[in-house]
Amino acid sequence: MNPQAGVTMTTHSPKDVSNKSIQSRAAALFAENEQELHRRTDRLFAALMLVQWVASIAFAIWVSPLTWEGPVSRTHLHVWAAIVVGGAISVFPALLGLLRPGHTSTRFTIATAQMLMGALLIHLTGGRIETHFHVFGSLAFLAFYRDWRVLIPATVVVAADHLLRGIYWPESVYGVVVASQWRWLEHAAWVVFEDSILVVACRRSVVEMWQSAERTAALEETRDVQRRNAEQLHRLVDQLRITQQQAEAATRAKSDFLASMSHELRTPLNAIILYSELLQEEARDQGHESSIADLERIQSAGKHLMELINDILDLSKIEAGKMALSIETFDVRDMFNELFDTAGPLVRTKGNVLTLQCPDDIGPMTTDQMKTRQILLNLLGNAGKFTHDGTVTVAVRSVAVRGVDSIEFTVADTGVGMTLAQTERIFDAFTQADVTTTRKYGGTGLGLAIVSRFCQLMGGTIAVESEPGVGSCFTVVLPRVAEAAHDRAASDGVVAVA
Amino acid sequence: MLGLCWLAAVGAGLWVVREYDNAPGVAANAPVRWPAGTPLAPDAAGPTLVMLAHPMCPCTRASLDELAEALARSKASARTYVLFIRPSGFAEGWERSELWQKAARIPGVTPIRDDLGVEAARFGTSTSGQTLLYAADGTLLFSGGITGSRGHAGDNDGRSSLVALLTRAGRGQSHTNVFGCPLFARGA
Amino acid sequence: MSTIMIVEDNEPSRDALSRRLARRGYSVIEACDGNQAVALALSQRPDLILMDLGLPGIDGWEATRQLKADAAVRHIPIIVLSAHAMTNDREMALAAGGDDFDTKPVRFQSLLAKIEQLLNARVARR
Repeated sequence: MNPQAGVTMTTHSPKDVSNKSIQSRAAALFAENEQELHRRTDRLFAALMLVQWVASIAFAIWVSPLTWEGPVSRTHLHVWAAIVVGGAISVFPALLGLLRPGHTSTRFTIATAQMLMGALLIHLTGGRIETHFHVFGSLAFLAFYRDWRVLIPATVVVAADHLLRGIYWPESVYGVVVASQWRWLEHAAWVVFEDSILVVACRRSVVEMWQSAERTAALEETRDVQRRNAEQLHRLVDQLRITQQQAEAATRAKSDFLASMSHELRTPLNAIILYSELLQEEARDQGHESSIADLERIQSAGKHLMELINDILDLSKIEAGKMALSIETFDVRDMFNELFDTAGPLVRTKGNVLTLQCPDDIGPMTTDQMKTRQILLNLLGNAGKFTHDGTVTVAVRSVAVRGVDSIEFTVADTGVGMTLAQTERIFDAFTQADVTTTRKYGGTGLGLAIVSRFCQLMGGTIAVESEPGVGSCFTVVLPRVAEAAHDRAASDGVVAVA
Repeated sequence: MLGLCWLAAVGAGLWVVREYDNAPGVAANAPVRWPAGTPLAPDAAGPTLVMLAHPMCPCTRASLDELAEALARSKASARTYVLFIRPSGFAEGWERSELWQKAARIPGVTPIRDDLGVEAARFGTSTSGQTLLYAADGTLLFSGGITGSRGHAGDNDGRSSLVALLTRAGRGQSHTNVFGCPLFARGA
Repeated sequence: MSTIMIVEDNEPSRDALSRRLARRGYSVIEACDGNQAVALALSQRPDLILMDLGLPGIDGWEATRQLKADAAVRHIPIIVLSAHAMTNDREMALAAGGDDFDTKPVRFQSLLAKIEQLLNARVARR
């Protein structure tokens, strides 16, 4: 019997579904448990029945083996009763207990038989008061079933026995010929008393069994969930591993692609540029003025293409993690001198003034010179592009950043400037200040993206401050000695760092 | 089905046992006055109790228990004889059975051998456990069994009546059923 | 009149570069692959070699190494040209014996400067 609370569900959330499945699993566990209990107790009683039978025979033989009629003796009826009636009472339920354990009818039969055996034993033992205890002991024993209903046939048998004896042989029950109401009531009260205790015990026990079943079901559920989670985790990890391998393969493919593409792209471009320059030289020699301007355009387009290809390939290399640092020691002031030779004319074309503020004793740097030059060239180029009739100032000074000896380069201009929103985007790839910038100012949109990544690679930082209409100021801070170079004697040696 | 047949069989079996246990033995036809000629000496000052018993009857164990109970309850010191019959064909001493020892242990009880059941016949008794109570003046006060059924100890009409009579504390039955083995073979 | 050998497998590139150098007054020999480069170098003894790296047959590295290993032509300066963007190429080329390195697409002026520098240096050494 299941003391189940009636739960009505209107929605089927996952929790409801899992609760329902826990309930049904608990019900199954409970039923299993209950059945097992009944079967065990049935088998127990089967053994008890047979033991009682043998005991009753032994007792009858010991107590009243012979009945006498003067000089004549015969085997006492009690002995036959013990054997035959005792056997009848015991064997049938014992067989049921062994052959059909767990059935309701089995335990009801056993309950009935147990009390009938008690009645027989009372006769065989001559009404010893102790034998009456058999009744109470049996009822308690029957409670092993945890099924309070077995007490019903047992109590019925006891009551019927009392009743019938009271009616037909009152003297045997009460010692008086006429039955007294009160005696019957007293006997009944004792039985009812024990019954009620046992019924309560049975029901409480069943509730506990049910709770235990629920707990076990919930535990099973948790373990199931855990196992499923673990499996899922393993699957995800496996998937992740595969994805990682795929990503690595893709990166490798990209690098290979880069390697071949750079060659493929640059080779024809090389021819275009060379030929257009050659034609230009020849046109100049031969005085074909009109061609010169056209060829000029071809060259400029080719150079722009070259810039674009170089930038794209550089960026791709950085993204693929294949951009290496080529570390050397060089003099900062010397680098600027060369730089200004190259970039100076570009900046000055728009009527700008280029100034350098750099202390004479700024000293050397040990890092990737080419990349540093590229950074500065890009910044100068931008400054020159976006400023006209203004000033471009480059300032260099030695600083210490978190204990690291660094060099700070500032490129400030009095150009068009940018809004705050624009400054937030300019280091992104393929973004210029706004869409009209390329048309108006040229450029690829990749320069600053590369610049910022170069800074990163060399262990430095870049920052920008700008105000529309006032100008912009880019600040680059690079460690004087790049990270990996600390481990080696980096004087003249060219060291590649992967 | 099968269960009902079984119940019927068992019920029948128990019925038989019940019947047997509750079948009273032949009641005594006791003399209403102390019989003359009996070697037993009645108590002139008080009641005299006589119980006739088969030394081997298992049921009489209960009767003796009840006798002891009755004597203890009544606190009367009645002279009590328990006669153990020695049927023919059994040697002397055969009657000193376990029951004899039991009777001897009851205070106030004198177990006596009744050869060939002569005294039993004198007292008109043919069932083991028959109890007779004679007053000091020799009148028969009680004749019957003092167990509820064969071999059953416990409260019973016979014993309560005996106690009542011994203590003169009230009326009781003068006749009750006696349950026990026959003292004589059938037809004897 | 200095002789320059151009080793380049791409025909247009080779042709354009050759003509531009010729206009500058150099005498130009052309080789299309590594093997030819080595053979021509040995037979013609140019004053300077421009070696492209990506060549059929033996590649530019190997050709450079071979030439530098041969006593007869070891002295010829070699400028290694490469379209590849990897920094490693520079190291590898120089490690193989190249005297200088340049990337493609060629910036003609800077290449010229390197050529002149190397030729003058050789002249100075003589």
